[in-house]
Amino acid sequence: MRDGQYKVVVNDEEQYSIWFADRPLPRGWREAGFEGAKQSCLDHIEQVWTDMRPRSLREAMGQ
Amino acid sequence: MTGTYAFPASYAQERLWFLARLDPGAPAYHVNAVIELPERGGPDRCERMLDELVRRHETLRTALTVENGGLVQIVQVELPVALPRTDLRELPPERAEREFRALALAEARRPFALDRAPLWRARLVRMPGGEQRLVFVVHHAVFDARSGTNLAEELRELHAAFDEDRPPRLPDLPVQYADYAAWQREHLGRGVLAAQLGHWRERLAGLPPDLGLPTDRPRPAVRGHAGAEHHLALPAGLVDGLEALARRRGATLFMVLLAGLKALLSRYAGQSDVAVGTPVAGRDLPEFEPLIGMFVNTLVLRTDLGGDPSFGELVDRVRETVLDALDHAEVPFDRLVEALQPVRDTSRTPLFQVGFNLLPMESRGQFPNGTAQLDLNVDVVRTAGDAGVYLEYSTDLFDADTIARLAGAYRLVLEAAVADPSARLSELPLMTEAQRREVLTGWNDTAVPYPERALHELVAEQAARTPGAVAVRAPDGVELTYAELDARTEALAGRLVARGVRAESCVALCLPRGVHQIVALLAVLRAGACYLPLDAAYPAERLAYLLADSGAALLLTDSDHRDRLPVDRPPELLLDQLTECAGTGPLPSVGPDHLAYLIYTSGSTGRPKGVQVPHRGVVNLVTDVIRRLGGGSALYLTSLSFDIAALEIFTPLLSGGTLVIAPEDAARTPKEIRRAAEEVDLVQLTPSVASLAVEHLPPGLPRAVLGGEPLPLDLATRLLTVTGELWNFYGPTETTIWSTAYRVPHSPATMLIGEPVANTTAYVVDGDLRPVPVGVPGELLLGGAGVTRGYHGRAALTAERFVPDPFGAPGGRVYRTGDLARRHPDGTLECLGRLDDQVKVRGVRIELDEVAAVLDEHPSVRRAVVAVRDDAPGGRGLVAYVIGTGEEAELRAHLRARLPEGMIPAAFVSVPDLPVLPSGKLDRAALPPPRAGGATAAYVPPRTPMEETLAAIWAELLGRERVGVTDDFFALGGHSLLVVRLVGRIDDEFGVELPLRRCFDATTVEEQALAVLEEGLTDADLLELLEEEQ
Repeated sequence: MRDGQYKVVVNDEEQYSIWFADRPLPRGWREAGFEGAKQSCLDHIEQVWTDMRPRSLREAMGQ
Repeated sequence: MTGTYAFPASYAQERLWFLARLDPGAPAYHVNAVIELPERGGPDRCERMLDELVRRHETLRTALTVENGGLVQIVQVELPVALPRTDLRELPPERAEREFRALALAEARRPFALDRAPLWRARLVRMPGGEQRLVFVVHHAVFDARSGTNLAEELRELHAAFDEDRPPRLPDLPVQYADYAAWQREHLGRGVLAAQLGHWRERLAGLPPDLGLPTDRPRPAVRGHAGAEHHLALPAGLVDGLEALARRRGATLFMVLLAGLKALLSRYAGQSDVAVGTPVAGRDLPEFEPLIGMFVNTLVLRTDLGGDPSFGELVDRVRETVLDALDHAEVPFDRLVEALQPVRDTSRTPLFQVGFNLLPMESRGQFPNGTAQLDLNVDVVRTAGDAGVYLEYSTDLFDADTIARLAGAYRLVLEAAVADPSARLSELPLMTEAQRREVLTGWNDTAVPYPERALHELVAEQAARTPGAVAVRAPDGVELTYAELDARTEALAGRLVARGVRAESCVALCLPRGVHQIVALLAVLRAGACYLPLDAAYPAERLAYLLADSGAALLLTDSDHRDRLPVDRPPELLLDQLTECAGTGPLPSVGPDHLAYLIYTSGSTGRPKGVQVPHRGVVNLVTDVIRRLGGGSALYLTSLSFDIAALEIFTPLLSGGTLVIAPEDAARTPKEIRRAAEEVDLVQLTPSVASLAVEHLPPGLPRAVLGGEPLPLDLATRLLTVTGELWNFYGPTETTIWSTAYRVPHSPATMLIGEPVANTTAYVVDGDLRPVPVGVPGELLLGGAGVTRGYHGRAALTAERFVPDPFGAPGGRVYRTGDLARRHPDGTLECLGRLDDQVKVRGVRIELDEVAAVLDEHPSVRRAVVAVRDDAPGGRGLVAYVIGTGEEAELRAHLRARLPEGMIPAAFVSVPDLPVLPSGKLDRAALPPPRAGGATAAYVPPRTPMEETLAAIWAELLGRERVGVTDDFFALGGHSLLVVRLVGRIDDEFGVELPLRRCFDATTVEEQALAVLEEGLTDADLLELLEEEQ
């Protein structure tokens, strides 16, 4: 992935990633409300994605 | 014979003469045409017409030869014409057509001796319908495309004049070709050459020596001329659209077609600096127009396609490129090559490898003659309505399928450009919908059911099925049945829970390979936790880092190993000192998405990172391996800190076989492997370990799995002598052990990594994550059941490497492997090394494994690896490490005969063995530095009279005071025409006619002296030598 504008995206399992800002999102992913240079997006993710367990597992474990 | 005149040759003739000398006998520079003539007048009239043409045009009476070190044209005052004839009128039409084609091809391929006039030949063939066909074959040194048009027009007029019984109305020829050659020299002499050369020097500075178009086969050390042609039609509607687009941007059809080609090449090669060659007519004065002769010059059209421009913008850029080149079109191409790329690379054409031209139909009277002058040449022929594309390609490099795909992609690019000129380069399609579906979906149809369970549950179920079978056997003979294993696992798991281990905890394991370790590992899983393997041999610092970074809640070890661990460590449980247990807690329920293990991998940069691997991927892979290869007993040989060990452990335990534990250091003492391997169905090895162990493996080994590193072909061949079933697996830890599988056939031609394993998808994409066509290298992305959770405590890194799957199931993630791969036409994957390891030496992309593979073929080499090092002689370059007895000179010669110069290592290091990491992979960091110094640039005086004479000739030709016997001719400023003079001087001095090609292989005085000796030996000499020997 080259440098350029990216969006922070998240799926139903609340796993985060980044996607090209000027391209349609892949199915099953939504915008997480942050856009910027690749590194800023990644820095943002480092802040917000604190529990990397998938949502379904987290819920099954009763938390 | 009548008299002759001598004139200096033109620059273009010098170049063609040189190229012809380089490959004597190759018909690559023949021009051929088939001209249809009416039956009237019969063959005699045709002969008289040709006679008239020969009378008019000196070039048709010209030969080329060297006089006083310079090339001259020898023109015969008169040259009688006798036209050979073939009569096919009696044959059935189809048969006649076949005969005609064979005949024409034979004429086209028969070589010319350039020093004997004429440099053309013709044959008249009478066909069943009454028509007459004139096959005309001529050497490019006296003919070009415009000459073809002139020739056809003159023949037409002569025919008409005969019909009407009148004198022909042919253009006056106030000058002849020899006048042009003289004019050209004078014209360029007046500062034009110097000024234009200066311009080109600037325009072509830093031009990559290779376009980087992916080839089907490695480039041979010496370029061949074998070629073939592919044809593609561009429909009238598309051509109209391209012309309209050209008009709107103030460009020409040529420019738009070239922009499309450059876009295609750039996408295929993954390179934004694209140079394409094109011929220009070169008839700069009106008097030259009606002549027959070689006027064409070649221009290098270089465009920067960077910044992902729209197609329209690209047309603007190409327009600038073309106009700028045309303003500086007079520098003879050969002068340009000498000025810009003096060191000749015999493996590729200089400055450009792909040619392009747009020409009217009558200029392309050619039929393919089985040759290719370039890697690829694209001629677009404009006819009344539509256009045809003729792609002539080197069959040494490309398969017909590949060029057909490339041609199809060219048409797609042009169609997309017409439909939307604002489309960006990266958005232009290279595949049809059907091709896209095949690479994305068809070849990823891997769905197969697998148990949605945790690993230890499946082991427990196996124990219930076969309680008395042997589950684990240690090197000392200790065995556990499945029932015993299950009981001990359960007991230890209870203790772990009592010690506070919970679901998603991490428990460090620092235990020698053995029964204890297996029980401990299963107990950790059963307690709901994941295991973190610790190798006690690791440096203390690394162990401390792993313990701290993982946040391990508990450490399972024994009293032997405890003291080797850092002081700062989690609470421990010593397995050799277990006391009576106070009580056990209830075991948690564990699902497939809980973690099974945490394995640290070291990237090339940064701290090691812990990959969080859930049960799901391991269960899926082991299930698939058992289905594909069969289950049974397996050898546990790999260090647990390498993720592939899990396959060795769980394949037997999930199929009722025995886990046979190899002694701790078996990987380094191969004899141990033999004993252990005799009892098993499956052995898994890295190629590094396999190359040491192969001689010790028991013959009749049912199955071997290789992976973790590229598998050299010759190692595969040797392994196939001990095992009936050899698999090459590929996969990063991040997608769980292995993601692709390849059953290696007997005598494989190329090592592949096969197809994705069950429930796994593989995509090959470009830098924008768009799929690339078959054959084009791109980054390999892996998705599916094996995709792991990510990197422990590294959310940003996880988000960067595990990205949304744009092609698969909604919400899925794919892992970007950072490996370069490509698809073969049947969908099979080939791995081409690391993306960020792409080594470029002098701008040429080098595959290190390819160099190593060729070294491996040498009989004295047992194993070779090639590395790029900054401390190579002469700066960053290739260093070869070789186990074996080969002398450096011998190995160098072996490589030189097989690989392009850029791929020859700067240094060779002989090593007794290769350093191996605990994972079993090659430890590249531990390879020793090459010896300093070496033979760089030291003056070595001549040692024999022959070397003395040669060195003197060189010094004279190169204008140097002295020349050493190890100096390189081209590095000292030698160029193609000097080679010709050198060959002449060698002939004068030694009476030996050294083939030109030899001067490019033997580039030092030392090597040339040997070459002269060899060439000079006659068969009689050889016999004499042999007799003396006896």
